[in-house]
Amino acid sequence: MDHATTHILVCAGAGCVASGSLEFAAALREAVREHGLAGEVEVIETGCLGPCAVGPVAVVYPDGVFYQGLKPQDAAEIVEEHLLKGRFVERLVRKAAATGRRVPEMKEIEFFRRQQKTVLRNCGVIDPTRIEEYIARDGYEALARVLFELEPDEVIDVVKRSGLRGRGGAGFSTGLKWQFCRNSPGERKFVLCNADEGDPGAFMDRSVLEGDPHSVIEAMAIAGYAIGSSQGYIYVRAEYPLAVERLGTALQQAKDYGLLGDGILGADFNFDIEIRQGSGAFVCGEETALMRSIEGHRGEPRPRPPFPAQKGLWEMPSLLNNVETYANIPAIILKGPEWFASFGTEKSKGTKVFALAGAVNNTGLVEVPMGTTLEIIVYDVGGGVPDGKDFKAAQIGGPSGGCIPAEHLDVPLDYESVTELGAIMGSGGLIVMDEDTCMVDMARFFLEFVQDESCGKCPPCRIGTKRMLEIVTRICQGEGENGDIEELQRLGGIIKDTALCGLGQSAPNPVLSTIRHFRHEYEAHIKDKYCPSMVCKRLCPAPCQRACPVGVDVPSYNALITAGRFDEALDVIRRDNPFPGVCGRLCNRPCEANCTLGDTDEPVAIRSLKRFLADYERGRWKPTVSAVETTREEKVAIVGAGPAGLTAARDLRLLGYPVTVFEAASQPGGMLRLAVPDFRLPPEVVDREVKLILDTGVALRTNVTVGRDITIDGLRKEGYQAVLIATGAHKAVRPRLAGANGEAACLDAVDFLKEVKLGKRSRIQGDVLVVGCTHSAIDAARTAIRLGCSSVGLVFSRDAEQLPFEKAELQAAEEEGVTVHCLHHATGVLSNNGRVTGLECLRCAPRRPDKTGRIRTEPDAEGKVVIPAQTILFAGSCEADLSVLSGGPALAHSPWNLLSIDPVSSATSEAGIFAAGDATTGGATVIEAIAAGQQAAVAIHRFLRGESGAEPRQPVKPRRRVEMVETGEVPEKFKRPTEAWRPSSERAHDFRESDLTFSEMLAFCEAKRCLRCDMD
Amino acid sequence: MDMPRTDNPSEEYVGDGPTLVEILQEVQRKEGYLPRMTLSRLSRKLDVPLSRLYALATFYRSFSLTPTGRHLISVCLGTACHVRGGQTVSNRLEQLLAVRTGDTTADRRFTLESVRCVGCCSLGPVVRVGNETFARVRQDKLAGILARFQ
Repeated sequence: MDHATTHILVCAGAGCVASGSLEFAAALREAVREHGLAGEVEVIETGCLGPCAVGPVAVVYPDGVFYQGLKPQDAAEIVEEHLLKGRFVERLVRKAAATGRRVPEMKEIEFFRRQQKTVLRNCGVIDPTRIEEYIARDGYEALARVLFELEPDEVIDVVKRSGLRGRGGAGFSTGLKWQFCRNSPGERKFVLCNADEGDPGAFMDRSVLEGDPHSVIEAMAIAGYAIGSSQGYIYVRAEYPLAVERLGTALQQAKDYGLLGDGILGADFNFDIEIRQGSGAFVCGEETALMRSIEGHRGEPRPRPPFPAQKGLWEMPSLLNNVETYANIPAIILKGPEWFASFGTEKSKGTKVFALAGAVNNTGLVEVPMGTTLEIIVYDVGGGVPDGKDFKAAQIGGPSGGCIPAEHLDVPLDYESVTELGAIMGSGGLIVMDEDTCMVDMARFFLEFVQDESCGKCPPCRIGTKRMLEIVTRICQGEGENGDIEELQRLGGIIKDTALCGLGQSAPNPVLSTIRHFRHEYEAHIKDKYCPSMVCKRLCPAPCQRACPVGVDVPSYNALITAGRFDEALDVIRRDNPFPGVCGRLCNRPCEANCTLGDTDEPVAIRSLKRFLADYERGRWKPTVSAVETTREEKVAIVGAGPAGLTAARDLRLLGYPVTVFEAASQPGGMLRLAVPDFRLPPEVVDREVKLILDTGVALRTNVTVGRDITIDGLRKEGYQAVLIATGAHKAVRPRLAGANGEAACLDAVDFLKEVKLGKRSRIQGDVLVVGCTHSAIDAARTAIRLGCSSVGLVFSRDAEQLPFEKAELQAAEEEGVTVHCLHHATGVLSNNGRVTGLECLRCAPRRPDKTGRIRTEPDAEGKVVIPAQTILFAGSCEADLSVLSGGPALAHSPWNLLSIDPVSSATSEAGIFAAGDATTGGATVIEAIAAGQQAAVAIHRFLRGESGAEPRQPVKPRRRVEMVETGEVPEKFKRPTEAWRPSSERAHDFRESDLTFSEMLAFCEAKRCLRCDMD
Repeated sequence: MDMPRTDNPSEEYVGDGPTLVEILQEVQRKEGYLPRMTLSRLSRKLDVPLSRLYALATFYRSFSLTPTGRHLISVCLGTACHVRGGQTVSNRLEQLLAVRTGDTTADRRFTLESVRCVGCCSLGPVVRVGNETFARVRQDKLAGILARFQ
């Protein structure tokens, strides 16, 4: 350190080492040497800087610039930019969460700004493997002062006056403990350091031992002088190899410098320290067990009294403090007890180190004055909960502690306040939990831990916690019973009163504290058999149900199919989706993409099973639908009778509202009825399902075009208190293509499909080309074939792999005679005397999606081709027809003519007017439209009840629990059935449905393949 | 080793070299487990009942009575790692290695164990193989990690 003007401190705490900080430090040294800066710049590996999650981290002094997320390849840039050119490397510097601004200087960073470092004063500042650096920071000065200026009683008095309390958990006064030990008669006494930091989630002791081992050694020597001991032991966990290594180095250095051993610093005081490694037993963190373990026995606790201060290690008076407590001592001696007592609250003095982990943006070690509120730690230092989620609770004190819920965020963290809330300060592990953490599961986790770690000596801990674990496990598996909560509380109380040691006495804390603050979660598990956080697998929906935009309970209806209870299966579907027949044909099936079986085998054919049910019902039984009584006064108008509008109408009707649907066409059904070809979706399927909705008592007025026959403002004047616009996106956007607009033989595919559906067109002649990648392209091509044209070609600019259709469908079209031209980029329509003669295209090279996920096709100017055609259909995107707004009100919309709505409340820019479906999204899938309708209904209901703000997130719930049914045998080696199509020669000439539904047998076998993820 | 002397005759190891736990730790370090033969020999040599050695060997987690693999895989199941899916990682490792936690693969390549907190809570889920620590382990990274240890 003699001549260097710049120091780069690289964190070499265990966290950063795991992230690769040693590799970075090596690369940095190399880069420094390569640039000839070896004499001026020194790279130092230090202890933990704190923010472990963004490691490896480093600080460059004297500028104090903090770098994070470092990789070896960043080393050269830091040397060239920062060291040579004097400007910090922007991309490696921390961003302020609130402003997004880069904050290079460490002291400006929020995470560090709020901290007050006493225990961690040297961590991340000095090289822990060099005693000289510790001494340069006033190290061992406290020891010297004590030896030469203070009597042992005066030392104890200083510690007492500082108000320091044990940081290991119970918070007993450190000075008193020292006093008792000094007063205890005994030939020999021992100074012990508890570094058996077993609390999962706490790692401050590890960081101190790794980053500043001498502070503990110095403090133990001071303690030895104060109580009259000449031998110390540090009991370290075996799980901390780096800490053991650094401690060993530090002890050797201290001995070499005469700071340990005989006649320390020339005074008449001998003191030595040895390391004892634990062997992996949590209970050895308990003081009496720890001493038994040092003696070489099983680490089983014994009753107290006698206390260790009277009879400890080898039955001799012993002083036991933990690492963090000791690390405070040199600072207290040097700066005085008054300085120390100036931090903290009345009864809890000084600072406390917390290991911040879990669902919080900045995780790592933080040291704050005692009494800092939980809110400051979580939100200011910790930077809040990630992903915009809500803070639910903080677990403090590990398996002996409890949780602090959101309503107590303002609690000052000191010994008394935390205990009052049913938690304990413990060693300071602070785990932040968001809405995704299940508190019952958390309690189960800690009980399992205690069960695992119980030494077995006393029955309350060994057997009592086992009984508690059994009950909580039952609750997590959906087998909870009434009275379980009370039984847990009773058992917990008994164990607290009767267990032998601190481990057992505090073992029920996590359960009792979660019951106290989150009793409703236990009740949801027991009574509703439901885990609100979606953690307990048996109590939350299966992946397929979660993937479904409307949350259809797939496993239940599969199970009902295997039991042959088809009518009940349909009821399960209809609870959430009024269109099983439609979705059984058209859905893009996100459920199947998430099916667990898909990981190892083909996913269950969920869509085909849905279609089977809807088809099977027809003609066999009448679904139970009866008109719903109108129980509310507020009238609701819905504009557009497509899937979104009708779903909203049904849901509002079921809530008792009088609902009227206005439809411009003569038939309800929207695009399903107007544009999807009959061979893909027979009109009677739509009619049946629409009728079931209307039968609930929804009033329908067809042939009414809102915006022309009546305005939205007019509707409101007629007394409709809420209006939902669900008019769809019917207006085709013609691509900008030379000649595409002028010729009569250029049509929009959507308009063509509508003409055919409405019977206005029954023929199309010559060669037809369909251009575009939307679904109406393939529908239009297959329709054109059936209308008797000479040939049909599909023109796509994309590669076959990247088309948004299902492979089977494209294959079916090809079988029917459609030619597919992939990687053809249309550039112009060729015509002669007003008659279309062909389409000019450029061949494109196959392209993969770029980094942004967009597929860029780069047409090859050389590869020009002309495909002859007499009719060209354009299947581009669609936009909403905003003429619905004519006559007011003027609602906000996007440049693409789509209505702008709040994503949660479906509200438009005007109160009382809502929008849903394709009118807000452009062409989306049918299931998304149904989901949008569902959401709008909830939002309108909320609006009419006068509730403001967004709808709170409603978790998907299983609709009913169906136990596994053992019925019938499935043939061995049964595989997912492939889609069955009618012969192409036959289906290419008619409009009857072109693919076939499952037979009963097939449906049964396929439904049996379901793994029932909802059960496990 | 400089151990304190004591007048208590029942504590035979005070002031007389390493404690039993330390002796066993040494054997475990050298052999990778506590072989039955070695324990018997120790029992005779130190004049300690074998049952006492067995009592220690079964109390502490870091002792093993069966041979361990060349590489020890420790899956952290501390609170922070649990919250971030440590259990799933553990399950997946059991699948990949076809052993249960606590067991050794047939080829003695790996021993799989779970530990409660290695103190890298910010980086969970954490898996340690030998002396190397792997942070933020995702299931799909596991096979790659295993391949690095032969």
